[in-house]
Amino acid sequence: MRNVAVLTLAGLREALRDRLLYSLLGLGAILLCVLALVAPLTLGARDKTFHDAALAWIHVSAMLAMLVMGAWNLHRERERGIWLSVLTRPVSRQEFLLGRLSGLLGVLGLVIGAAALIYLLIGWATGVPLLPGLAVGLLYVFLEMSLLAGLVLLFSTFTGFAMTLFLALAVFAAGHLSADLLRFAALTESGFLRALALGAHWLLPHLELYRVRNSLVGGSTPAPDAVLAALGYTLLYFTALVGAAAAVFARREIR
Amino acid sequence: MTDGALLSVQDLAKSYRLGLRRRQSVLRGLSLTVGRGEVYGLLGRNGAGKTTTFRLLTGLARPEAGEIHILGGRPGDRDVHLRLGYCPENPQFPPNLTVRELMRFHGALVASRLVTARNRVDWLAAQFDLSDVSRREIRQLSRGTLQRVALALALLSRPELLILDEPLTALDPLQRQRVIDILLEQKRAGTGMIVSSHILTELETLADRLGVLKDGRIGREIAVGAAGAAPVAMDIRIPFEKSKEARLDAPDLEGVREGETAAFRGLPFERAQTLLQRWSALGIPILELAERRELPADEILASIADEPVPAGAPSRVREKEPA
Amino acid sequence: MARSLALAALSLVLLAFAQLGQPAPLIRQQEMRRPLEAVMLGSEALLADYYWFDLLQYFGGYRLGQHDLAEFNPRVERLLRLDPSFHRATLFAAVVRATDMQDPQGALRWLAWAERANPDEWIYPYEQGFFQYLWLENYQEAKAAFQRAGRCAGAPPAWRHFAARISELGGDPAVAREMWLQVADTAEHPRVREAALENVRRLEAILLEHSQERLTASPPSTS
Repeated sequence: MRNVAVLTLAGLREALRDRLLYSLLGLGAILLCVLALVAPLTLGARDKTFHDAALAWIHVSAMLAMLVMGAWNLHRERERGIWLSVLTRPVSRQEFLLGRLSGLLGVLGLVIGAAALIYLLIGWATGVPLLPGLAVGLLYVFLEMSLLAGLVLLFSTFTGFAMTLFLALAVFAAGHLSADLLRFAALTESGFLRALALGAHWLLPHLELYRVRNSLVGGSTPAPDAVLAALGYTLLYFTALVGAAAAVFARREIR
Repeated sequence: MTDGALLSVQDLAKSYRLGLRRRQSVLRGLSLTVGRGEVYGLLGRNGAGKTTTFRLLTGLARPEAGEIHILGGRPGDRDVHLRLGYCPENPQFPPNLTVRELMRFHGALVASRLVTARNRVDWLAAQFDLSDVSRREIRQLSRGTLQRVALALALLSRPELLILDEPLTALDPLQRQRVIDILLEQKRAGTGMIVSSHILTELETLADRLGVLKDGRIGREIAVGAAGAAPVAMDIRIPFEKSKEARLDAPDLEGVREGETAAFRGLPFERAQTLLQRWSALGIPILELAERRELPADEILASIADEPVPAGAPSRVREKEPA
Repeated sequence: MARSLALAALSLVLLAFAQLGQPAPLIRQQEMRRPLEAVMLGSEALLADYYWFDLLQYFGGYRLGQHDLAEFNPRVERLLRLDPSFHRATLFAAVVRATDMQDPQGALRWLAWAERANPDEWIYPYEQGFFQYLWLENYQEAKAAFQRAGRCAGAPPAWRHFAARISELGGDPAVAREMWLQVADTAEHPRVREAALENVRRLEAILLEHSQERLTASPPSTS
């Protein structure tokens, strides 16, 4: 575990110097400021609009951080042979993978935390009241994006950057439509398509579970048992993704 | 495994998939050993399988056949990697880290081998002239500096065995000599090494044995002798007009006219030294000077190129000496 | 190899636990989501905010005489489908539909839909009470709506007042009396309590008068 910690810290240190991180946060801050200025045009829905936009921006920032920074850094390590010097140290493949993943999750936490701080600052400056249940909302974003990090890690163990990006985004988007897959299975008359839709539904992550932002802004916070269920689901699915990634990576030849 | 050998490779085979059906065989029964304090030079054409061999030795790839015994274990063993130093060809590192951060990061991974990782890092930085660039980010470094960083990292864990893939590439002559000196120190301390290089003259200085990798196996293995062995003969070239004066004290000296120069080849080393002193005192300019060692470099080159061995060719040519 | 296979097998088991252990997703709509909504990946409320902004501009254009309200209903419905808890938009749309479009039934349908989508929110049945009372003069429905609002947490105490008044208007003084008694029992301010008790006394007098009328109207006994 010591090696995992060392790898995590190194990964975090690299990420903190990545300009993309600051671009994401900076753009979002500008967007929120602009939104706060035009909010009076929303005829009494200023607070709601501001919260909706801020939470969406945090969500997108976290997603971009995992997709672009995560996939790109993993790809760059492989393509340029950066990982050679580490894999020839007394570091097992599993430790290497866990270290990279922990670093990604650390970046995720930083992005969400920094974005939330900017959101709170701008909200405070413009008189928007604090959203009750914000912490729960941020936790849900973290849990959802942890699954995306796991997907990025899994696909990067056997494909290149473009394919990793495409597959991770596709699975992530499809995970948000998993309920639609069930509807489709109920509507279609083709047995083959029904089996396909059901199979995809049971394989894909059920990301509908994390759709709490709307109800949060509406004043409804998920119940504690719902939060625990989300935590448990994330832990199980995430561990499955990491296990699969470790299984693939253990057999992979490093060229 | 050969007694006392740090590395023993037996009948190693490896191929790569090309497309769906085709496979390209890279290694077909490679065998070699490296003992304590021994340097094994691995030579071969581009694509011969040198880097593949190193990937197999470091556990980055798996052989299809054969056995590798390395430092009393197998490639990939944690204990083996702790005592192993590896410098890849064209090394790359995380671009956003500074040199110091990178070295400390690696130091943390091998901390159990070191009394104080920080002291070791600082010492190596000094040895490889990296102290001035320690705070620079990796992406700002030249290729030569990156190579020195890679070599410093290879030595970080006080390795018992070094695997060096083209370690002297991109280094200027001064740096190259410095690195060779450091590696010779390691050798004297008992560290075994397997080194691949295209710079034959540097390998001559370092290596005890040279293996020519051809057709997936060691086609020829040549003992170099102790590093820095004295040359056994010399070839000297002087202006033809001065040849008569040069032969006044050595009438039995046989030379060949080549254009406006006279070439004296295969002179015994000590006699050549005496002649050089005398000719220098007479003011006879030395146009060319080459040493002949026991190393049959031409034989090696021929082995690599798969050509007949030419006879009597010099192994190294020095620059023209000042008048 | 064995370790890799074990890891892969463990991953499959964990995946099965994760997927099977989770209840079926809450499907609020019967139809498939529209592509633009699906692309929002959980941030549909932001798109709803944009649609709200667009709706306001559209209504403003109508008020400026630039066009009619032909596209008002579709714009509202796409907004509400995205964010059923957007109560400000729901109420605004209901008022516009009842007044400018003179379609209170349609407005009530929106409010009823919003109530189904937000069963714990008092505001939707509360507004239905007003709509039923003001536009349709349907006192029984209005009373029922206010009572539904009263069952939701956070409902303003005034719901009892409205329910009581409407019961009386609807020709049910006994129910009205009961409701005013509840108002008197739960009132915190003495003036509110006094006013409620005054209504109770007034309704008791009406009830007494009604029962006297029934007695005098009953046929004489034939002994």
